[in-house]
Amino acid sequence: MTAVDTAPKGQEQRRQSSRSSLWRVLTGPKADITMVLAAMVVIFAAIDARAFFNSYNIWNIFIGASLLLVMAVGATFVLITGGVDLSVGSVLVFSGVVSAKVMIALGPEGWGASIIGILVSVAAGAAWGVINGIVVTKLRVPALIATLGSYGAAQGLAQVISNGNDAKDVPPELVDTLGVGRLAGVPWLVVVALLVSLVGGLVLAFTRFGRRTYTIGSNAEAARRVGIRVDRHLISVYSIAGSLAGLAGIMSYSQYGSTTLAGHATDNLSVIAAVVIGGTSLFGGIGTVFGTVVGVLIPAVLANGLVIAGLNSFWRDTAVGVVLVVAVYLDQWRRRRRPGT
Amino acid sequence: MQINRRAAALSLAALTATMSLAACGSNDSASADGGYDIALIPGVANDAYYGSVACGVKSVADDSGARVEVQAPKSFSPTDQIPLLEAVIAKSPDAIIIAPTDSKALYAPLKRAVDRGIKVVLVDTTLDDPSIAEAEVTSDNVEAGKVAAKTMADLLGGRAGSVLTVNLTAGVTTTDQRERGFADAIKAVTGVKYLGQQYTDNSVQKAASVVSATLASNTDLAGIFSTAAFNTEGAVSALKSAGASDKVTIVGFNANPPGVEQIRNGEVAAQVVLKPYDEGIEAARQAINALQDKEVTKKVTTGALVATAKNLGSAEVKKYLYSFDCPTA
Repeated sequence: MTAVDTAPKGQEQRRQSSRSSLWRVLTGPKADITMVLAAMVVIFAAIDARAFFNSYNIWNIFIGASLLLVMAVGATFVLITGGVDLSVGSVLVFSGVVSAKVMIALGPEGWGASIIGILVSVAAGAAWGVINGIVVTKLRVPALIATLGSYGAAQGLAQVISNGNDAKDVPPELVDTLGVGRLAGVPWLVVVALLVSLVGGLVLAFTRFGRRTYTIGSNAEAARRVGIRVDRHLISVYSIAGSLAGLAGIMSYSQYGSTTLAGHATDNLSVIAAVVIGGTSLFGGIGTVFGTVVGVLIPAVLANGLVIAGLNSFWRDTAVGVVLVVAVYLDQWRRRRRPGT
Repeated sequence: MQINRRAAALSLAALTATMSLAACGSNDSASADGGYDIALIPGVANDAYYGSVACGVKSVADDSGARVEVQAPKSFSPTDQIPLLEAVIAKSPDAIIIAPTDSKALYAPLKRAVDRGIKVVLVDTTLDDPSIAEAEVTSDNVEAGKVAAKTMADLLGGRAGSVLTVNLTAGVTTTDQRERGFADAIKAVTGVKYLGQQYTDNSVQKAASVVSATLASNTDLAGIFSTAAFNTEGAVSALKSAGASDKVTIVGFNANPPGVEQIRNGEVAAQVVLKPYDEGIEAARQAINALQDKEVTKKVTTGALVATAKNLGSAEVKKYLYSFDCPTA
């Protein structure tokens, strides 16, 4: 919960210290939504501190958010370019199924099979990403339609390959580490998700690749004129999103011990909602991975906290819907006040 | 700063409004003195079958002064059920009664519940390894599948033709067993060619497309056995749009209100009726026995009966039709 303490402080320091510019690059104007998250944590803690604030439950919340977070980091890149990727949940399932088939053919046990399984899953996801990127750039199909197409195609192919039956043979090595294992007390799923976020955040904020991503999202034509190979960059961005969905696929298979064919149908919308709640603009050019982390945690905290508060967890969808619309309204309002930012 | 303050205030106001709305909607009893806390986690929300399970659980809980909180996942999937279960575990209830949505995926989180001293009772569906649970209460689904096959044979009355099973999702123990019982018994019926099963992932749409495709490829289709409610709805709509309602007999497997309606208006010839109300009663009894260190029956099975247009009015059948409205007996 470091974000909670540091966000307002970071704001005040912004003008004076040199650290502040680093902070701003990393977080963007995310203090408001971070405060919403903090307020939610305070409210739930006030309702039942014993149940809500213990390491078991805190890690549960993070575990619940980890799959979406991995996919949302990819989606942050895609949305910043002004695109959208609706295919992620299906690509997750597809990658999990392909990787499960390969691992089952290999045994399914041992580290050899596990590592091959991980690589296959990421590669299968990357393949869908490359397809998305090529269809968007070379065939000039709008991203919404291109990825809606692969959303259906990936889910359908996953059903065909698996014959509609969830595969359930996961190498025990994978279950005991990535699935339910912990590294120094931190669940592996969370370690992976946070590493992905950290690397994604640094790449976006500090590398040429990140700057080009923002540039293309702000003005693709200008980017083209200054010599950025826009198509190639977009294909890379979509394949990053695909690879991360593939990574989420093997995480899901390890966690649930099942390919959960029917369990990820609305992941794409949850991911986009989280990224947008985190302040990334649907029109491109604006967004941070830090915001996305907060945006993913809000629904996760709500899902957990509402149950602990003794309310029906269905209220989460309502609350997330409200937060989403308010977040986008604030985004628009900010733009009107300060044109050009 | 001003922007942020206004922004945060607005978001917060919206959030608190939603949450207080949520609080109004809930009707949990606040009395915290005495009695056990029992959490019931059905397989999916908005299914009258689990409504009847909840009725059974509540009737026993009321008698023994226990409190029941129901938290239902929005889809029949471990991806929705496990986060819910984890949040329930964090609340440390005395017992959890759960219908696992996956025979394997739910093992690890339920093991964690047991490790934290929570008594776990499995209701309706079960695990590959149920040893961690105090008790498992299930319907005898193999037997119920046989009952369905017998009913199908009676309804066909010697007519030759193909018979198809539309099943839920592989790995769901109950529906797999229903199909097994049905397959064993229907193969012995002369004149019937059993086409095997097709999975539909509990989707009405997919069940409809499976049935339409089968109708097109097997013109002699005479019977459909559906192992779950949504599948039956899909089969009915596919037969209707193909104009084949008269020549294909459906034996369904759910006495949900729409299922009963399907018998009344002749869309479905018979529904196999399980006894979820009895399942709920048994599950709650075993949970409370475990909490009171009384003797627990590790494995309890409940039976099945068949509802047709003829016996729909009888008291015995009426009692077991699935409903959110608990019987007042």
